[in-house]
Amino acid sequence: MDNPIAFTIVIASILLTMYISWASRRHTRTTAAFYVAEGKIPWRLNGAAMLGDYCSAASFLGVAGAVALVGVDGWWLALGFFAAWIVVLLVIAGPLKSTGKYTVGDVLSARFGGRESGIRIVAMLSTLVLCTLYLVPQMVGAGHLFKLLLGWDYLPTVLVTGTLMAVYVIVGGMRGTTYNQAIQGILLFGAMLGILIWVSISHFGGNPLAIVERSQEMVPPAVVTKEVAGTLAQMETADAAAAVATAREQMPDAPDAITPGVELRDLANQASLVLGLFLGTLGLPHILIRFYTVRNARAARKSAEFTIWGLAIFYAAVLLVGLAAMYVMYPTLVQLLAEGQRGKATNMAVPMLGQLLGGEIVLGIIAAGAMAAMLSTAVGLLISATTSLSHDLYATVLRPQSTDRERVLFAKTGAGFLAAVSIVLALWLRDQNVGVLVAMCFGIAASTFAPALVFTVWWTRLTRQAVVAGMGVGLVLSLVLTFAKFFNVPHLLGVPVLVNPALYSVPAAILVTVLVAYLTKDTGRADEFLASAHGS
Amino acid sequence: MFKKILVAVDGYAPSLGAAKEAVEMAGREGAEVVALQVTEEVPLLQAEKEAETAALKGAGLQPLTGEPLGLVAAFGRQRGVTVTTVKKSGPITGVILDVAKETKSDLIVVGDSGRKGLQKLYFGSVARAVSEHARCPVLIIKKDTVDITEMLSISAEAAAAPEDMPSTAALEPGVLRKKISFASGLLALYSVMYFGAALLTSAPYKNTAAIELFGLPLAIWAGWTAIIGGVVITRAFLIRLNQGEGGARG
Repeated sequence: MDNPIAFTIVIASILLTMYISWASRRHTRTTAAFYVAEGKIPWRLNGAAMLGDYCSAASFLGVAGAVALVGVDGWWLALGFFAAWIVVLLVIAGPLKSTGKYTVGDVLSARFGGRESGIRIVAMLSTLVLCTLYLVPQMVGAGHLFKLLLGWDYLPTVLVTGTLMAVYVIVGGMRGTTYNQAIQGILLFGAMLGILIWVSISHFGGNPLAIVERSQEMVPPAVVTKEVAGTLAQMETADAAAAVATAREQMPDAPDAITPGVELRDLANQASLVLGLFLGTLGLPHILIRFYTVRNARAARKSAEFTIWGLAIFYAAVLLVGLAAMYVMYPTLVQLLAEGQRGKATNMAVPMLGQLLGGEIVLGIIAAGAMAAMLSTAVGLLISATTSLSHDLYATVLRPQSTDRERVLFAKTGAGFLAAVSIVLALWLRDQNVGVLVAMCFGIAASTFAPALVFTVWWTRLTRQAVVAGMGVGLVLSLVLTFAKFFNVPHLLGVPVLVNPALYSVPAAILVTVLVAYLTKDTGRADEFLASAHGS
Repeated sequence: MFKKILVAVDGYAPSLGAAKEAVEMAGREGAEVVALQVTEEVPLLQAEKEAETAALKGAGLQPLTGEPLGLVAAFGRQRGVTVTTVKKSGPITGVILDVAKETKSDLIVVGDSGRKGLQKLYFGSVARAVSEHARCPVLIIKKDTVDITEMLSISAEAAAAPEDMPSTAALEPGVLRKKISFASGLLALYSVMYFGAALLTSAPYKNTAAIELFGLPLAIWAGWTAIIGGVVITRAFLIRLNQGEGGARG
């Protein structure tokens, strides 16, 4: 084993989160639970839990890693993750809190009735596709992390990760979410700030702004590798400053790490990506839960403000930590890229920086935080998928007369199958940045759930048929375009395939929804539902 | 000896046994009963609810009534005992202890399902947790030690069900329009900030994005504007939301 201490910390953290979930079972109420009785849930705990949902592995590993490789152009993704939260708050958090529904299925059932099989089927397919694809970046990130910790090959690490996720679902479930998410949020936030302070003191004279100054000297590793990889690959033993200086000498006209332009997308690709990020969070199953654990409006406001400020600070730290990682690990990153190990370079920059700064203990803390984020996200996704399988497919379509036990068995088997599909995809997409993979899932969510959800809670004219048609078109288009991108197909249906499907599939879904709504009449329980969503 | 007895009910047999015992004891001692039903406030997904229901059924437990409070109230009327019903949501034990304190109950009666082994580990025990933390005596009624046939014969439907659902007033004309205007106005404002910053960082505008302003490229300032703008808009939105709700319970 390469890092026994770090590995022990990760295992201890996994066991702790499992224990917390276990201790939050239906009737178990420990002293800690007593203190969060009605009206006593501290708003800071909720705020930290909200933060835990957002300081995900994609941000923690993917965005910081992207900044370490390409400079500030890797940071724009963070803007989208941040903005998505504002959209959730402005558009659906209030209405959904009022109706007491926090999943797409619940919302659609509340307005259109629970027996409408068309809506159920399209919602189920969207849920299954989204959950399966969203599991992939969690597995890719966790696989690389275990590989870094243990030195194992990628395949066994992904298999172990998949197994761990299944165990989490069985043992943990959604209970204990508040505590686990809060711990995860505090851990990731603390780790990011801790690294920033530490690296500032150890390499930049105690001044974080010196990181920006140094960044203006650096040629991003991604640029160096393209141009002069041969030379720098030999610099295994060179220190960071010497490597940075050598690269600049060889490439005097190259952009620096805070100059936009190293890896900017063309307008269509960028527009598609940012649109997907902007709307994608609206349909993610694990996001809105936090709004239902706050007891009153004041607590909700305080928690939300806590989260927003936390995210703002976190994403600022992500930029600086990514740039610091680029400087401190310059020769290593260049060499990893030269060796074709982009997956490791992009997803493991922050853990490697932690290891460099504080050895195995810091590596362990960072890995534990990232692992907790990935596992808790995976739990939410897998349980959402099993809900769809048992409720929308088995109980509604396949066997309406089935017993609870049969449904549960079917759902668990189905979840195992989805996890297996995710493992295969994670093996195939191992070198992708987890942030980019997550962004693709956002694109699918933005094309399916976002229009349906927003129209359902805001538009009286929306009809049952419009929901089915809009979600169906959004799902098919976004899925086809996502896989076209995976297979590197340059054009499809006469249009260029983009980094994210949203630019085509979101407008198409909205257009079809609106058109069909005006052509049909069944608006469900519109008045009743909208009154519960918006009545004071 | 006891003036006010709190009993927690959930519709399962052990809790109905506890309720019967509490009402009969109150009848003997001239006390009154507070019957409490706690709805857990954990955001469980449907699959988990089904899995837990299946596990409970597997252990021979299923709810005998959907209206346990109505049933206890009816049983109380039959025995001439004053029963106050309370329905709350939150962590079960925490709420039981809170209500005991609020109502100044001097005895808590709870049922114990008698689960063993993994089942006990999985579901835990409210009875044990209450007895550990309560500040007054706790009477634990073991499963199957009280005959609840008499209670079950009472029609719960005939009993007055507690009013716990807030009635949904019809949406006033203009309210939805006003809310749409406010939310969409803020969203439009934020969209301009966000898409402005995000599209500035695309290849066609890279020279504009790289224009230096106070030592940093314009794109970085735009990014920060989007983040700080988000903070400000969120604050404005939540303040308005709070004013609208007037601090009502969420």
